[in-house]
Amino acid sequence: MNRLQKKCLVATAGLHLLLVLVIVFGSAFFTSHTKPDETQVLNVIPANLVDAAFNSGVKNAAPPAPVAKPPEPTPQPPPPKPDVTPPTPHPKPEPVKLPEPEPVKPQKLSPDDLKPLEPAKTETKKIEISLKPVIHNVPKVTTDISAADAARTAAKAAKKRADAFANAARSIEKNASSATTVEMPGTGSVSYANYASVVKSIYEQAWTPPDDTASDDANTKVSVTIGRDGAVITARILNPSGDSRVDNSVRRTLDRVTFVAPFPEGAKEKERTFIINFNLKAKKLLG
Amino acid sequence: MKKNLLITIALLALNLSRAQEIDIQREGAFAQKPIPVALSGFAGEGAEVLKFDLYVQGFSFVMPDAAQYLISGSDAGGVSGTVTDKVARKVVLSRSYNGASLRRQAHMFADEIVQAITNKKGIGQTKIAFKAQPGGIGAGEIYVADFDGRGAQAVTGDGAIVAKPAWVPGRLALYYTSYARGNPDIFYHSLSTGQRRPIAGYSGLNTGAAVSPDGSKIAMVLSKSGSANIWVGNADGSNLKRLTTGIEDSSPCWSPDGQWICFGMKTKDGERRRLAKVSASGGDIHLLNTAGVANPTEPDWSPDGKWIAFTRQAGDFDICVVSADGSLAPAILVRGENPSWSPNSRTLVFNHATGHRQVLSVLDVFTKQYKDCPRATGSNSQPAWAK
Repeated sequence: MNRLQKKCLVATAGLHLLLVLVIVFGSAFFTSHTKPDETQVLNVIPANLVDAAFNSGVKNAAPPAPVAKPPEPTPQPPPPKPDVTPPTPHPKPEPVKLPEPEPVKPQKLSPDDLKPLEPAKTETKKIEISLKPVIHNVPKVTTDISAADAARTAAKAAKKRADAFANAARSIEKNASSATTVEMPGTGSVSYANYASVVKSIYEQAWTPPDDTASDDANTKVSVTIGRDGAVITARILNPSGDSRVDNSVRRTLDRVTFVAPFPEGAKEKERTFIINFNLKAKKLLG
Repeated sequence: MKKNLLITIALLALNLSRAQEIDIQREGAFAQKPIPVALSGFAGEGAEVLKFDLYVQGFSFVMPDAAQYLISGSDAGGVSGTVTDKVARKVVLSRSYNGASLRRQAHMFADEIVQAITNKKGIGQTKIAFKAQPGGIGAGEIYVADFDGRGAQAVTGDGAIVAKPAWVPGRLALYYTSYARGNPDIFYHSLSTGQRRPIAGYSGLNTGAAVSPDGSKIAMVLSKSGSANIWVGNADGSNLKRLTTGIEDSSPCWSPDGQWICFGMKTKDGERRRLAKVSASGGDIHLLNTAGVANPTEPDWSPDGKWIAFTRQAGDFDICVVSADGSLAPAILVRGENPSWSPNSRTLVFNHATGHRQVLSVLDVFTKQYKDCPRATGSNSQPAWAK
């Protein structure tokens, strides 16, 4: 090996070492750029959207994780059925609709949502018709009979009208509620983001910040690793805020949360790690 | 070989950085969320006491699904109950009480719940003193009651104008102002012996007595030298020293270390009010920074020393809080006046107008949740929390 070769070896070794360092430690400098965007979106979602998918995890029942699958399809068919039964008294739709729900069961197709709405329209029309004759009758009677009777009949008519309105309102309510219940089973698959929102909401709710802070802007950074079954494997503070009261409140939160939620279906990892920033800003505004 | 090694290293690095980042943000101090709890099994008086006590200490009542803590038990024959931390999945408190009244038991249970969940001493068994005017205005009496306004008892029976009761720290004794002798004089009144004696009866105004944390001194407003100023003296009214010389000073209160006296004052033109503090041994007057809040008055220093509650007089009266060191701008909390801190520095008692009467109310400062107390008689105002 001559001098040049030696130089080259040293140079390449040095460059490779640099490359390795960049790859290993470089990630530390990049993480903060992209990630906050994802989490900000998730702020409000958890309660409703995730509820259906994560029933077992959120409502603190440990075993339901595997059990959750079978019950899900069975409750789904019933909601369309009650919607369909009210129209059955009408002769026309009967043959068409009864066969339909059965093939639809496994697929949860959207046409299901549309059909219960159609009979609803016909029902409301009928009520409108019953309204009209009442109004026409009233003036005829009043011209013939005394003022007292007129008042009585007017009151009757008013009552009828009120009843009709109440009926209409009731039927509208029925139809409206049926439409909303059909929407619920729509979320079949669970996205990765939803799981993070569950993590976020659980930690957010469990955190009780101190009454007072020594600093205006305290940020405690923690790392939480969650296992497949939803149990918290490790939870530790990476960067304390420097405000002992805030750090202690975060520590208490980490101690409290021992379980989050089992991973969504299709998740392949054994565990997931989340970096959580607990941030407390002193409010400077008036009022 | 080298390539393979590099690839594995790169993969490792990727793995490390895959941890998802979540931001949880809260606005501090006066925008706290109440702690959601679910209450079950309690009925009647027990439930009523628990709800009042917990609500004014920063808890809210929700369905079990949304609760952080489940409080279950019963108040049949005696209060008993358990508190379960839903998140940690463990029982954090389990108690049963006997003896005393059901009300007292429920207050004790509420105190232990507060201690277990927030690590703060509860206020369930504390007392307040206040002024009650049967006719709404004019003559009245000094009353003492539980902090929630229950069990009110008259301390005086003079049928005279009274004002500004103040507790002696750690003792069942009050100072207050009364016209019983025809002039606004300051009296000391021991609740255990029932004895009272005049402390300051100089010509003009004698009012606003405030007892130092160690009980050895009182600060008060006297106008014996012409204008209403802050004076400090021994607990028996002797050894007087004038601390201020402004045109109109009012409402002295002590810092918990006994070093400072905070008070309300009028500016030299007599048009505006300010808060200021002066050393209890005399010296320069330091104005407090209450920027953005017009006409502050009636200050009360929190027992932990961090906050000063006061009243804003601007058309309406509002309860405000500012950090004692001036590091945070003042916050306007709710309508009302005459704030007085609880011993645990978390809650205020104050009065506010409902119709033509004043009613006492208890406010959780950091969540702004408040509840009115039942009225003793007529109009109730100027509450002072025993510490």
